[in-house]
Amino acid sequence: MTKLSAADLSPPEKLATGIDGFDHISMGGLPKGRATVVAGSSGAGKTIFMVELLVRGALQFGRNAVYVSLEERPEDLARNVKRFGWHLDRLVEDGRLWIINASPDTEAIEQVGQFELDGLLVQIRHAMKTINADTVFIDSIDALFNRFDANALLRREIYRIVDQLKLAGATSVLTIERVAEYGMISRHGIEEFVSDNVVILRNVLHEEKVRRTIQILKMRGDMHYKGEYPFTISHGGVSILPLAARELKQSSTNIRVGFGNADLDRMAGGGLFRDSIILVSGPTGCGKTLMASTFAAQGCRDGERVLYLAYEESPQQLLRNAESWSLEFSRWQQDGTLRVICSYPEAMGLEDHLLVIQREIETFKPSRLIVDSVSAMERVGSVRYFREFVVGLCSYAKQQEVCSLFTSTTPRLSGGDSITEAHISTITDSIILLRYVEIEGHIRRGIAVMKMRGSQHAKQVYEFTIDNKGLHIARPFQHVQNIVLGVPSLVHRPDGEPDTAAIDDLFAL
Amino acid sequence: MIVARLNTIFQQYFDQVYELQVVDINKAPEVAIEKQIIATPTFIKNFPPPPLRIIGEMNDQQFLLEWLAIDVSLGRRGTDLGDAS
Repeated sequence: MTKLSAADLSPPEKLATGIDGFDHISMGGLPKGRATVVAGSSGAGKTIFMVELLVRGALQFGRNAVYVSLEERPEDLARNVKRFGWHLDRLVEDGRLWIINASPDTEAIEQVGQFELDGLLVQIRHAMKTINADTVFIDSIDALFNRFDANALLRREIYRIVDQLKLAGATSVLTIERVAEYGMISRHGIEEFVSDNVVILRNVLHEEKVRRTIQILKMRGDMHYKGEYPFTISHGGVSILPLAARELKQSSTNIRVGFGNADLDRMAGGGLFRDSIILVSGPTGCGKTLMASTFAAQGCRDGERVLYLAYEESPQQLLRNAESWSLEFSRWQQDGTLRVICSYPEAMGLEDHLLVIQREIETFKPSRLIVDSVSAMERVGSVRYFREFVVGLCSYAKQQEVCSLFTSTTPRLSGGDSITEAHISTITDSIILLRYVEIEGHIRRGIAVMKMRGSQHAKQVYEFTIDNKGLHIARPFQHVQNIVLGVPSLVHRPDGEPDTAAIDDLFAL
Repeated sequence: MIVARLNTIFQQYFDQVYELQVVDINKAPEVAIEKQIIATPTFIKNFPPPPLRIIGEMNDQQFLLEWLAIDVSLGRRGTDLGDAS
């Protein structure tokens, strides 16, 4: 009987990769001493993913690597990845990387009878020994099938190489090419017998936007997150956005910060929690940007850094508006306390937007963030991707403990549901509604705090006005109901007295 | 066996004017790296140009002759040949 020791039965140790998000979705990284297959169609980012794995492995974790290039010539490879700031030539010089050039050369090769891939194996072994490497990257296995006409033989040989690498204790990563994004994993079915671990990279054209996703199909004997996670390839390399995988484990605080308006702070029960997310929803022109600017201004006055992301206005417009409310945006901008970034939502995909926002938060380290408006992003992708964007944004802001205010434009002037609200109202900690109120032929503005997690708040709809000093909150509306639903109407009790109870009922959540 | 097979061909057609070097890459991995050997066995012809490679057991003599451009009717031909591994 075969004896099984406890050490053999425990899940394989994992090697951290340092790639943004990958260690998270793989719950630790690459299984140590095992082979992992990275499958993807042409252009899915396999080589970049591989090279980033090896560069980070070498620089961040001191793991020397052997890279077998079966497709590209090493010089071409090194040139192609230089734009990511990865200098393979230096790694080779420092003895941290050994590139085996197994690219098809110009010499004619004729195949007469059976052969083995011992040449490759000998080269890998020699390289591993020379630079003391324990990770091996092979890119790509398909190149072998294209070069030699011997499928069964190659399969046997690849299996043997992988097996030998495992015996040598090496952690290996192999790329294979896919013909289609969905369906069969690879043309030659290599992943079936070669590897316990399969990672799929996809590159799907969806609504005229390219969307990259990564999926860990299997990681035998161990846990990992399932599902497709969007990722981007930017100047820093691969960035995976593990949206749904993010845990809600943010710390929570009782420290309150000012909104920028004393009356509003009172309505919110004494100010906003400094790690909360506030959604300001209202129809166009109702004062959302004013609310956002007021919120930003308070941060600047407190000497905190504020990041303002505008997706509907130009910087000039935003500054002009702020100055018209006596908010000194240009001065704060010069001080470096306020950073305004304006961009068109359509300029890039949602994943890229999210990445840009994350990078900005990382480098600028704001304590307040304004996204004006989140709903503008609805236009960029499908509802599902938008939802992922919003969830990702919220959880990132929470993780970083940035007090964030998002605005959302309701589709109709009277208010009503929007996709944004449907998806983020449960995630945000506070919701502030702005509404037009028409009373006896006059348009007035109403503000209500709908939700204030962890705190008491005013339950009435207050009237507010805007002038050159900014926002002014007046008395609650009386004798009016259904403001929030967009159909305000006057209420009278049978005895002629105004019925505020009806409004109170409306807000008794 | 392969070496013997090649030697037979060369002796017959090249009038023994040839050089055949046999390398065991397991013992000399640096040669595998220098020559970028992937498969074994690999036969490399260095001279006369162009350089050519054959991989496999080389069990098809007719094919080998054609591929080495040996005109059997001429009987012999002077050629210098390189490494086999």
